[in-house]
Amino acid sequence: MNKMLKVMLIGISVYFSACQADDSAVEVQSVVMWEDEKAEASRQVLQTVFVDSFNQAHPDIDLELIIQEDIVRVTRTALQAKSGPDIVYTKGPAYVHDYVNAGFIQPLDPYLDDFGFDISDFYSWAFDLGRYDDQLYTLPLTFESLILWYNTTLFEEHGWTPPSNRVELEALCAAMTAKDIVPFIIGNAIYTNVNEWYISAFLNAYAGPEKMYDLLTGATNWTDPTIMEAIDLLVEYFQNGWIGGSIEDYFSLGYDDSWLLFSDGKGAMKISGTWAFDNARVNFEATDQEWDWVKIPALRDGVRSVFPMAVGASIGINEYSENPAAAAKVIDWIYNDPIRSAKIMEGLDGAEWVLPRSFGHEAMDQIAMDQRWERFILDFSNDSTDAMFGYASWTFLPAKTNSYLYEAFDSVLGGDVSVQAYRLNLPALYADEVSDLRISIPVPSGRR
Amino acid sequence: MRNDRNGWVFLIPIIAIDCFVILIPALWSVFYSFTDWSGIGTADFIGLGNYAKLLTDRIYILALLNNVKWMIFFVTVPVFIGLLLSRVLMSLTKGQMIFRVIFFVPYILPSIVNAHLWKNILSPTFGVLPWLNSIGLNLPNVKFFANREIVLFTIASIDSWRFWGFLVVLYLASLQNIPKDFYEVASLEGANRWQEFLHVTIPGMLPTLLFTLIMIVIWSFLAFDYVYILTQGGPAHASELLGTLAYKTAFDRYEMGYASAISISMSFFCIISLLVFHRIKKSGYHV
Repeated sequence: MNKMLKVMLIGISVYFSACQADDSAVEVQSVVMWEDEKAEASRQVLQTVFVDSFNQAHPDIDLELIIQEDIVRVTRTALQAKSGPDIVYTKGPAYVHDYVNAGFIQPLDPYLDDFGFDISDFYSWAFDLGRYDDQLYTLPLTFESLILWYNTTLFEEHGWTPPSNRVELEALCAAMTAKDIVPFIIGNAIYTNVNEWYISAFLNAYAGPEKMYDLLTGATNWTDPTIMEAIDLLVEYFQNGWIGGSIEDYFSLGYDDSWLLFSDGKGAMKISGTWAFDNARVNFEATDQEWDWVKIPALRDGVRSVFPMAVGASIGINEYSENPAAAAKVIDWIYNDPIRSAKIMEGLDGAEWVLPRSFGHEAMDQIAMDQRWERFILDFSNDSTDAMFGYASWTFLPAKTNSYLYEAFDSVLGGDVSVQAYRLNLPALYADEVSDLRISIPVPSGRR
Repeated sequence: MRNDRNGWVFLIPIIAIDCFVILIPALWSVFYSFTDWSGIGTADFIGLGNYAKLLTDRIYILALLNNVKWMIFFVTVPVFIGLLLSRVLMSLTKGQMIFRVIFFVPYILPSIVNAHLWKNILSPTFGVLPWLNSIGLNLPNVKFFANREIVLFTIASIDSWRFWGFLVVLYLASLQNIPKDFYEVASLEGANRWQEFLHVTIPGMLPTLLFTLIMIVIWSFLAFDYVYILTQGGPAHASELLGTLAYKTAFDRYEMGYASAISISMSFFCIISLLVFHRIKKSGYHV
């Protein structure tokens, strides 16, 4: 009897504990986000400031951030297999286009009302780049631009001032070359994409943003004289040895090495993206020299100096996500708190996760960023508001055209293809793709 | 009969794996080579469009020629070094094993390690030549990976640096199988070293030699890693091979259909090599 009673008591206690467990059980939804390669310090910042804070605030969602090497290739393969992360990371609008066409990412419009941030706080051009056929598919995770970096120590030593027009720039290049200093210290060894930075810079600085707008909207084409002259001028700069020192040096110098030489005074300037603020800090700290930046000067009369704008990364929700609503909450977490966003941006050295928004004093006061970086953010914000921007090729041009633009440019520099033949291929290639491109091109001030 | 059945039972897992990882993807590649597939989404049939494009694509023809240069380099330089060193090692009575290990070590190192090692050694900024110049030697600072005339030869040399060690070990094993009597007879007949090499060593090693030559020809059309790591086919496609071109076409330009056609053409050249191999085998050489 005693034994029987014990068995009954155990059974009852098991039953009640099971009931209790059922009552308190919260169904945890899993959300996976993939991110591009990062240094360990940056990974830690994302984990603590973004992932851990989100998981603490949302006990019903388990967010996991996975760093992927070669993220574009891995993501494409996963999406084709109707798999992959819940939150799809892309390298910008040019990559999103294929995903939308293939139906691999879902519109964000159903979640807009639930988002805890106001889209009007953000640069409209950056948000509009996530729209296809009037539906919002992605949000910009980082914006970037091209600027002219210069070694201030070297400039002060030689009494040079940053150029503000073509005449000044070319005089400076000649003076630098005479002193065995490479005017633009850069190379494209292993990374031919460097070509596109210079092509984008010259197209905007010579042809101008309005002409670029016409090109992107189909109002003009690649045979436009100013577009052709811009490419010719870039080739001329290379042939003068102003970019990289010589074409062979340009082909042989890697990106990281170019920063070492730049910070060591072997080269005076470079056109590179604003993602390089961490490169500048790390390299110049090691040499005790100083650096600064200015806008790339206009290279033709009547053209104004602009920031070519670009979205370096954007995110959307996988069409095959099992928890799209939870994924939307994660996206909201990225954007809804300017202080948190600013802290992530600070942790990533201002190179990534630079959300296209004005952060406000409250957020900016809580982070300690380099004054030169803050100046860029402020200047870009002002220019963006006034529609005084240019267009980076990797954000606005369709993939194949852009790929041809920078890959085939190597053959021009190498002398295998004439600059005329290179330009001749562009109109047909572009016409083939542009009809299928459905992003809205922001209107520059000169066309408003 | 029963043994036959047992053999097939053991083969089934291998055949199944081969079907999944080789046959089915290969058939998909053939299919995609007739489409304009970008790598995602749907694929539209374009007939022989991709193959027609191959015939007029300047970069493809350049890459194919580079593959041929690569093959010529590998069937001569490392084979010659392998033969020479194996013959030298054969004459060593002591310490042969140490040299075999030393020669073989580069072969077992990952290509990424080898490539980066040589990339640093040959760097025009931080490599050996700038260092020698910094201590007073006035040597020309050759840009091995940027000079379009020598870049392919530079990469092939780096690749062959780890490859001839492998050949030495193979050739040495083959040499050791040649009966000593043959050399004694040749010596009695008054043959000099060259005649001995030509009439005893080479015929004795012929099966191994032919096998390695055929494999080198096949591997030459599939070469990828060293070029991709060191130059990605640049500058201006000067070191482009079919393998790197196919990869970049698929994953940089998102033209998976065209990349499949390039890959199928690579397989075509390998099949031709295998047919030659088969023909030689049928003619009496037991390779």
